[in-house]
Amino acid sequence: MNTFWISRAPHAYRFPVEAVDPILAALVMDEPVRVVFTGEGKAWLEDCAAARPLGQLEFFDDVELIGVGTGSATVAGHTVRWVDAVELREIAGDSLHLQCEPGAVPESVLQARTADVDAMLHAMLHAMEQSAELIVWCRP
Amino acid sequence: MVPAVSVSTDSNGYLVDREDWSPDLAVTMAANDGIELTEAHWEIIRFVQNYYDEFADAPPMRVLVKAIARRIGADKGNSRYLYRLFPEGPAKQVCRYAGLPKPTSCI
Repeated sequence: MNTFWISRAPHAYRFPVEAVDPILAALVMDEPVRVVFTGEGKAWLEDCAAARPLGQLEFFDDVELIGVGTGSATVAGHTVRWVDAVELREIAGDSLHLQCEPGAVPESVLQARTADVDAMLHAMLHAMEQSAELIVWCRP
Repeated sequence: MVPAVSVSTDSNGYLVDREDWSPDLAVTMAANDGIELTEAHWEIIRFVQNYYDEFADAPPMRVLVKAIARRIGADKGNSRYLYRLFPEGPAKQVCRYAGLPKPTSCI
């Protein structure tokens, strides 16, 4: 399973096209993809106009979309599954490799890649709150 | 006879400004490649233009194939059909004729 983590800065109201490239690259290789939206990234799920590049996911079946928290959303024909902190931690444990970083990723996140899951998750969520850039995570 | 036009392109021949695009320009670009555009070509050109308007992204080849297969049909959503129309590489070539940016990660 390829797992991508997506957050955003509050001012970045459009989903960057570049962020969807690694997701599409995995899908065209017929590899299943899970995309986790957390922090400010959830806002994209509720604004399809801002997230137009994500609409390309409609051409693929093996897509799982996850939103951290509660709500309801459908993106490109895929229903978003909402998870709590417990399940989020389980997912984080399956996603220890950083594949793509269109923006700067804080050193604390990079260091946390080799630390335990709790530390990584804490650092990642903290970075998502603090970072001015998009973060895309992926398991190799 | 296609009228002469002057437009700005990048080093790969893609339009810098999509506003410069016109059907005549596409005909000229194709003619320069030795291709006479038919309705079959135009169907794919219009498809990628609509795709770009919808998703704000120029589709790479494999995504283009899947998208065409889903929306037009599997008889046209396959590499063989598209390469017959656009032998230099369908996604790159059709996006150039359509006035769009070069697709990323394109074969």
